[in-house]
Amino acid sequence: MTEIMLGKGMSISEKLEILSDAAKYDVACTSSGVDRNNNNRGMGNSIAAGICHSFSADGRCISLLKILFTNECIFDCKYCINRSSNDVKRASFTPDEVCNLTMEFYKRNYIEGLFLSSGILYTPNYTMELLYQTLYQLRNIHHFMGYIHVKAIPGADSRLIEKTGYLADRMSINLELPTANSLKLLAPHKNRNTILKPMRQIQQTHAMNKNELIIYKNTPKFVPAGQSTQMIIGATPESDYQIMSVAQSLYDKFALKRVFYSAFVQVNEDKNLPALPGGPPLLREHRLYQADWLLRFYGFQASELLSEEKPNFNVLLDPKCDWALRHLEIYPIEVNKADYYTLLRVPGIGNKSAGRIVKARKMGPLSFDDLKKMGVVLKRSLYFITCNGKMLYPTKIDEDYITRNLLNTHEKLPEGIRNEITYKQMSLFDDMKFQTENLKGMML
Amino acid sequence: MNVKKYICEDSIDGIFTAVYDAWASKADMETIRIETRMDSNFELFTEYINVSTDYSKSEKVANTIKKKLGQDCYMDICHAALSGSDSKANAVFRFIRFGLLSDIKMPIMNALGKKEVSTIFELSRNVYNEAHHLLGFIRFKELHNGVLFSEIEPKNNILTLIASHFADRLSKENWMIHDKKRQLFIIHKKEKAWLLISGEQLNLDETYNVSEYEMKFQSLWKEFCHNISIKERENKKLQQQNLPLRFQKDMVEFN
Repeated sequence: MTEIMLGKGMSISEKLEILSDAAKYDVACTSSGVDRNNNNRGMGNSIAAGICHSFSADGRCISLLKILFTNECIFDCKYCINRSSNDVKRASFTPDEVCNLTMEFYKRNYIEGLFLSSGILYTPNYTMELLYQTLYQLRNIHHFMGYIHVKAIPGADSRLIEKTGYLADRMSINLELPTANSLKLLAPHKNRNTILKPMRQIQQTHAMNKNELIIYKNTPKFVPAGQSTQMIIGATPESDYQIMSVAQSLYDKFALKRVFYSAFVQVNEDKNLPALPGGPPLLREHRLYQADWLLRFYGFQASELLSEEKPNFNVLLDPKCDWALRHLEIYPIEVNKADYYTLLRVPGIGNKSAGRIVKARKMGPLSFDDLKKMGVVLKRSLYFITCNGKMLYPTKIDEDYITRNLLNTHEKLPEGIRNEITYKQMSLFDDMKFQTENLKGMML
Repeated sequence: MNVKKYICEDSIDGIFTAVYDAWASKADMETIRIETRMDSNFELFTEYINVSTDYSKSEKVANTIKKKLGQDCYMDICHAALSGSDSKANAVFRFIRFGLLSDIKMPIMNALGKKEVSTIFELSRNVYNEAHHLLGFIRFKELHNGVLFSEIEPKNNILTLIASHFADRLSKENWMIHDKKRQLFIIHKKEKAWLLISGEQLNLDETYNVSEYEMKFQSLWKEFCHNISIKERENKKLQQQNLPLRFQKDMVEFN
């Protein structure tokens, strides 16, 4: 009870400071997946494409008011700033305060909606009930029609999760760590079962609800934007291959909309946590996101990108280039003839430009100039394609040669990550195959 | 060969009228240019023709485009015509001519290999992208009289493209968006349709007249934006890449 008393005396500004600060490690901030008009029913609507409202100093999109309901927590997860054994300032919102903040921010077009997560106060059910109350008030008293992303609390009653799901646009339960063993080590109060069970429940209710909606148009919608999850990268020794395999099975077996990867940021000292003198593994996170896109939009399988023998991504090349370099036997391909899926696999051709190529070439053969206008990155794709039987200029189809040239093109990495690779050093290894293993070998 | 320059009003209707006149003149099309602004220096061997906007002509052009080239293509042309680029009027003209004369059997916008098409595609995409950005980057402040007020300075004339989004979203509010560069306003009255207004002057004093309640939420929002950033990942360049400075100056969290 004391915690609540403490929270009561605080101003809304103090609470926001504590509870937004505590929510920042959650990466998901997308507001996508639902089209909903207001039609004079209250305030707000939703656009399936999603809208970014601002960008924070770390360059991440701010789309939703991302807060914890409370940072009280009975769990003691080693990686979490709010673990019960940490001595941090604690605060809790009331449902009214969250509603007021959401409505006033939304009205001023600061945000696209609410992202409500929470530590666990007393019990999972008690906390879930509070989240439900907040969403209920927003939807039914304030008639809020904007986007709501809510966390399902592991271990909460399935009926509570279901009720909440009918008020939210997206629900998510964090997987936290890629394997059950790591979870046991770092999050002793959570287990794989309490995470996967509600995930399965949301998937099934969502699927059932979709069928009902076909028959009864006015049935309330259950998490229309689907569910997502998040894994912490680099806190435990899993390989990229393990992580991608987990992601793939989440997409295939749990019908997840997104899997988010969060580079581990060290906020606690613990013997079970790795020390990261170089800061969070941002480049690795970046490579995982690139590969994640390959799974979702480019028709790749995790097993094509990595294997037991080659369990980690090449830090120097993006996963698509890396794959292409290992399959040089199929290149170069003829842009004017190759099918859509073959085009998709060419480095430098994205799903938009591949679509444009397929449409535009019906008019007549395309030249390299045309490709450039359509958004194809020629400096990367030129080793893999021909236009009307000719390559852009004569080039060797040789792994080392192409690797060297691709590295010289300076891949456009998000700012800040770039500093981690010193291209100068690379010239030392000019004739090497640029694999992490080799690099490590050289350094030993 | 003399060049003919049609000078028209900077609006969709103005450009379409000029397209109509240029087409009707039956002159050699290669010698015709359409501009929305008079040259500061008159060029030699150039005939300048002033076009006064005629809505019946512009409607004829619009209908022809919709019928012959399709609705999607019409939207792309309209987007391009709202661009802030100086060469847009001529690009629209070249594109319409290309579309009407070509015997392509597919949606003409797919023919990105053609210069006429790729130019319009580029203009249209640029306008569309800016409009989409501003759906998020617009900031309202609540004035004393309860009106939500926003000021922007977009490169392209995108007010009409974002109006219906906010009219739906904030249907029960009185609000107003001001394009400082073009002195245009979108005005929305509670539960009414939105209006585009030009040529009015703004009462600046009124726009500074905000309540303490408003100031409280501005500072809460600033505090939130500050807190949500992860210090270990700080990356100002990435922030600026995603949110260019020209937008930041009208956003409360950067002031």
